[in-house]
Amino acid sequence: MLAISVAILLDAASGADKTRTITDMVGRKIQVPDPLKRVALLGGPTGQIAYVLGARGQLCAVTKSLTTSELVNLMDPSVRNLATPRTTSGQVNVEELLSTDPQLVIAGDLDGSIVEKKTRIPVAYFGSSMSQTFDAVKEEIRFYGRIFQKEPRAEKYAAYLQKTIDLVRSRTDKIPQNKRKIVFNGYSSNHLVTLGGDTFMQQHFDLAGCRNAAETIRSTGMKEGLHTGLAEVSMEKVLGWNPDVLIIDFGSPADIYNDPKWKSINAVKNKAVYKQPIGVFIMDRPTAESAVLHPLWLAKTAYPDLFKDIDMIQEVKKFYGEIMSFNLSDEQAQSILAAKYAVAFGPGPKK
Amino acid sequence: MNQALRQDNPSKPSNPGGAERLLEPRKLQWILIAAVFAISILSLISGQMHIRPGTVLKILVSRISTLQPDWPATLESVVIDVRLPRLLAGMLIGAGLSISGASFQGLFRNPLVSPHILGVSAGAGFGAAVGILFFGNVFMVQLLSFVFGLMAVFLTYALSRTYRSTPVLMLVLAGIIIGALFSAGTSLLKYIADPVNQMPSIVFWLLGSLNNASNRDIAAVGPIIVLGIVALYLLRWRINLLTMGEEDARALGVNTGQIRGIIIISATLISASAVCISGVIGWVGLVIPHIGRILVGADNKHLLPVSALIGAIYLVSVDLIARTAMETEIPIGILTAIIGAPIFAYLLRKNRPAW
Repeated sequence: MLAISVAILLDAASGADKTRTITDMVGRKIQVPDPLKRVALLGGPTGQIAYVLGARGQLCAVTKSLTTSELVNLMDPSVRNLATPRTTSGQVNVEELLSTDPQLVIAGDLDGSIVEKKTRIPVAYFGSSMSQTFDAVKEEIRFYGRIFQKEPRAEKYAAYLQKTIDLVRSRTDKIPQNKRKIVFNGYSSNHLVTLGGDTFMQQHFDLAGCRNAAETIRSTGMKEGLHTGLAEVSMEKVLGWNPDVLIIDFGSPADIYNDPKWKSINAVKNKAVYKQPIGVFIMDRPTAESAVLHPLWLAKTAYPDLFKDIDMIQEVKKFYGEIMSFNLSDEQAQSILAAKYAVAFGPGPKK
Repeated sequence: MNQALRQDNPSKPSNPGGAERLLEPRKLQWILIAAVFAISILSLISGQMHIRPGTVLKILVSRISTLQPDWPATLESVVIDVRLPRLLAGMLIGAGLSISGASFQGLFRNPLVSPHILGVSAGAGFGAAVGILFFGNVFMVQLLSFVFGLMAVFLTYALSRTYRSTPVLMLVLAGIIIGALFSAGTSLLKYIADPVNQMPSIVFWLLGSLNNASNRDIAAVGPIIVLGIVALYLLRWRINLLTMGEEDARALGVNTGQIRGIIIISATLISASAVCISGVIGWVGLVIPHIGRILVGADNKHLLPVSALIGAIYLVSVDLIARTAMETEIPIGILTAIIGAPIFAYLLRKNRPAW
C-alpha cells in the first residue's frame, strides 16, 4: 500500500506527461506513459517474464496462475499482494483491474478486447501461441524487454537460451534418425492427452534428439475441454507408436508400471516412465522457463550417457539464479525436477 | 392424482403405439441380438491400429484355449486391454442407460425423463470433481463419482418423502433440486480448481469418453450394471401396471412403493456405475427408448429388452466413430448429443409415438 502511494506521489511530483510509442506483438502502435510503473500482465505464463527481466516492481496486476505458483511464492512471497483480475482466458474482473490503476495492460486477444471495451487503459497484445519456436520465445522476451525498458536483461535471457540450445544440440545432433528414441508425452489423468507435431513441443523433441510419438497429430486449435495445442488420442494409438520413453504429468510412474494396459510398450519394459518437472509454471507450455529447461531435461532423461557431465540440479539452480534471481537450495531444485511444486495453491493433489 | 401428470398419458399396455409394427417383437429381438454380435465383431477388428481380422480372432481364441501366440504382444494388448474393455463398456453402458431410461419413462409416465432425472449424474459429476481436486488419483475419482451419484439419488428420495402428496411428482421435483445443488457444487469446484490442469480434467470428464475403460473397471462395476439390467428386465411386467397410474395399480393389489423403489435403485446403480467408467454420457437413456417404442410400441414387456439391445448397438457404434473418425479422440458425450438430438426430432415428427 505504502509503495503504491509513494509511486503515485512520485508520479504527481514529476508531473510526467511524457509518453512513448510501443509496437505490440500484433503490430499495433500504442502510446504509453513513460516511464511505465504499473503494468498489468494478463497472459497465462507471462508473469514469469517479469522475473526474467527483473521488472517485478513495475507490475500492478497479474494472472492468478502466477500468484498461486508454489515456487513463485517461495521466492517472492509478496506476489500474493498483487491483484489478480484475470483467472482464466475470458475471465477478467474489470473493477479489480481498474482499482490497481494500470498504465498499460498486456493481454491476449480475448482478455485484451474485454479490457479495451470496458476501460480506457491502453492494451498491448502479445502474440504467443502454442506453436511458437525458440526464436519466437526470444522475440517475445525482447518485446517485454522494450516495454519494461530492460533490454539488456532480455538479451541476457536470449543468450542463455541460445547457449543451452547449442549445448544440447552439440550432443544430440549426431544421433542418427533411426536411433532416436520415440518419446510420448502422456498428459492428464489418463496419460492420453498430448501435444502434437504442430506445437512448440516438436522443436523441443527435435533439439533433444528425440522423436515425438505424436508427431503426425495436429492439435493446435482443438479446444473442446482442453487447452489449445492439447489433444486426446486413443490408447491403441499409443500402443502402436510403442514409445521408448513416456513422460507423464499426473500420478506416478509406478501407477503405469502396474497397469496391464501399458505393459507392452518399451517405456514400461525399460522402466523409462518419468514425471515432467514443474517450475514456476508447467513445462508443457511455451514459456521462457520451459524453452531453456525442458529440452535439456528431456535430452538428459532420454540419453543419460550423452549428458553424464551435466548435473540437472546445478543447471536448474543456475537458470533460476542467473535469469530469475531466485537462489534455490539443492532440495528446491530437486523438487522442481521431481514435479513437487504445485502450480496452484489451495486444494490440489500434492504430488 | 395430479392432472398434469395424467395428461402425459400413461402408456397403456393395450395400446401398442401409433406406429405399425413391421416385425413381431420376438423376431425383432433376435435380429437385434445378431446386430449386437455384428457390431461387436466390427468394433474388435477396427481401430487406429491395423490388425487383420484373423489375428484378432486368434488372439481372442488364445484366451480360452492353448493356442500358441505367433503375433506381437502389442497386438494382443490392443485387442485384449484396449478394444475389448471398450466394447464391453459401450455395450453395458448403452444397454444399461437405455433400459433405465425406458423404465423411468414408464415409472414417471413422462417421455422426457432420462436416467439422470433423479440427480445421479449431477452427483457423480460432483464426486469426480472432488476426486480430481483433492486426490488426483484415478481410483478415487471413480469411487467418489459412484458414491456421490448414489448419495444424490438417496437425498432426492429422502427429500421427496418429506412431502405427503403425489410421490412421483415429488420425486421429479426433488431430483431437480438435488441435481441443481450438485451441479452448482461442480461449478464451484471448477471455479476454484487450477485452470491449468484440474479444470480441463473436470471439463473433459464431464464430456464423457470410453477411452479410459479398462478390464479392471469392467470387472469392478460390470456385474453391478448387469445386475441392474436383469432386475429391470424381470420387473418389465410390473412397470406396465405402474403406467396405469398409482391408484389404479394399487387397486389391482400392486405394491407400488416397493416396485418404484426397486426400479429407482436398479437404474441408479446402473447410471452411477456407467458414469464412473465413462463420465457423463447424455441422450442415450432419453432417445433410445423412443426408437424402441416406434419398433415395438409402449408395452414395457418388449420395450425394455429392445431398448437395452438398441442402446448397446448405438453406443458401441458411436464409440466406433469417436475412436476412428479422426486421429484424435472425439469426446463421446458430444457425439451422442449431436447424433441423438436430430434423431429425436425426426422420430417425434415422423411417428408421434404413444407413451
